[in-house]
Amino acid sequence: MTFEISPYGANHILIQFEQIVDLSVNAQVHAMKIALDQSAWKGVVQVIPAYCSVMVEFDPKMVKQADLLRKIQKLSVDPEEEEQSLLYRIPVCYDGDFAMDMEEVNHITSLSKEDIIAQHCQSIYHTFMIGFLPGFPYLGKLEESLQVPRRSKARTMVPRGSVGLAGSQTGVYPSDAPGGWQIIGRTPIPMFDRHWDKPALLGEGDRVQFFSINSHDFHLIEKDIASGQFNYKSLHVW
Amino acid sequence: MSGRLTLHIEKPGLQTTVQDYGRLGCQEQGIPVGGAMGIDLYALANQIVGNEDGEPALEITVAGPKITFEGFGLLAITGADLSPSLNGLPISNGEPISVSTGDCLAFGRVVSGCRAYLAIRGKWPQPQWLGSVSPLNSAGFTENLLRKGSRFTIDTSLDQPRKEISVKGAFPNLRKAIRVTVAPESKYFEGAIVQLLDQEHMVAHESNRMGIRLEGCLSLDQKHEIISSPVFPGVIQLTHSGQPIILMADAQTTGGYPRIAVVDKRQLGQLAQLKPGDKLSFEWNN
Repeated sequence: MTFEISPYGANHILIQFEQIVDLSVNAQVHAMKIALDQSAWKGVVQVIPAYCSVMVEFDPKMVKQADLLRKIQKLSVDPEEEEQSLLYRIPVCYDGDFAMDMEEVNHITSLSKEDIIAQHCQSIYHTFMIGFLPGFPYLGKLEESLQVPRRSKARTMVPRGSVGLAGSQTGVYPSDAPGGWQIIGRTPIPMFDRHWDKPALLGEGDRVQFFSINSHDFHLIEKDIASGQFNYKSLHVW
Repeated sequence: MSGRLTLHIEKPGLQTTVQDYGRLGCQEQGIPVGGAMGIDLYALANQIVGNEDGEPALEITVAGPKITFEGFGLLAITGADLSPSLNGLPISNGEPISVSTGDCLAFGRVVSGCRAYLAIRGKWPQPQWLGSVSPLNSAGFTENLLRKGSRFTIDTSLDQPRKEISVKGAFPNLRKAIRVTVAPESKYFEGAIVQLLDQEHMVAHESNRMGIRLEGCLSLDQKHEIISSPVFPGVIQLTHSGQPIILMADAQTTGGYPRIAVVDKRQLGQLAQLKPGDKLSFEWNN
């Protein structure tokens, strides 16, 4: 496992693996994050993983940057030891107004709506990282046939729950926000709820598979969630 | 001794929020740090009134609020000089000021700076989320964004005595150059960094609590794409057009623009005092 490690301002260190979007590289990121968390070194404030980099924030009053750089350099990390993560099955309605960019995706990919849905639901996606918005999961990798560029002009407001495509990634908007991903559907499942102990539904390394529902089921699930009747465990497949 | 001070918000001002140190330790869930933009001045306001470190305070931006009081209390304002007055008479930043029922605190024109901090002695009632009172729109936590007609009551009965402290620094010093240091992509943007350090820059209008944008563009030595990677307040990103953005308290946790430099954490408070149109310069910190 090779990585480059460098100072990032006075209170942070950046560890960079091969700079590509790739499952095996992301597994190294995840393993590094676990190894650093388990080391629990004095002065380390938090460890933030991304696609192919890990950032370490530290308190310079408690540990010297140079010492921490050396310790990380010597850390033994084994990506093979990673546990199998949970698989979440997320319902998505790909119909009507929920799928604002379906026509455009249809045009760019030359796939029918049915094929787009079938392909999007077929793969099991890996959560590369959480970023951009609280709880926004970057999922991948998309089949090449589904890869489309971002919209030429970003929307000022993409509704919460919108499921979008951008390059080799797919993702779900956890809140209403501006954004440029091509929207092909919407899920009633909240990706983020500030009342949960851990507010983001997904974490790095979690696996996700989407399944198609009609708008009737969308509204039923939405109602169950609003009334507190929804069983979140039903999203997991072990 | 028990006591209470109720604040009636007659006018909220441009953007008045309840703030503290923000949320550290949950950035891996995409949650910004948030918190007071000018940490030192926020902390100083609490010190002057004798509060425990980390007690909430109001962050007041450019156009201040109008607040009437009910009960008895002690307040202090630090940071920007936004012409504060009590019952129409001017009051000074950095001094403890007693208020009682019927008193009205208002703000006028901006004399210097951009953000002021108002601390009030006592225990604040504001709801917390993940250990912080700071509002975060993208997470639906907007309780502590002040609105016209909102009111809250502070429990003013504190046991700890108040120490008389020096108030030097109640006003920000805006003259110094902002110190910056190395970022992950610095080595790819030597030309842009030279321009960043040699020129004077102006704060652009599209600046806010997420980031300060600078007018004009730096020359791009090369187009350098990065795969989204962690960022934090103080990081200077260079957009594809060459416009620099200095990330501030509410910044997102990951970004895809190259990072050319990082502002020294202790100087973020100075940046918090810059308004659109204000000038700034940078120096390299070895």
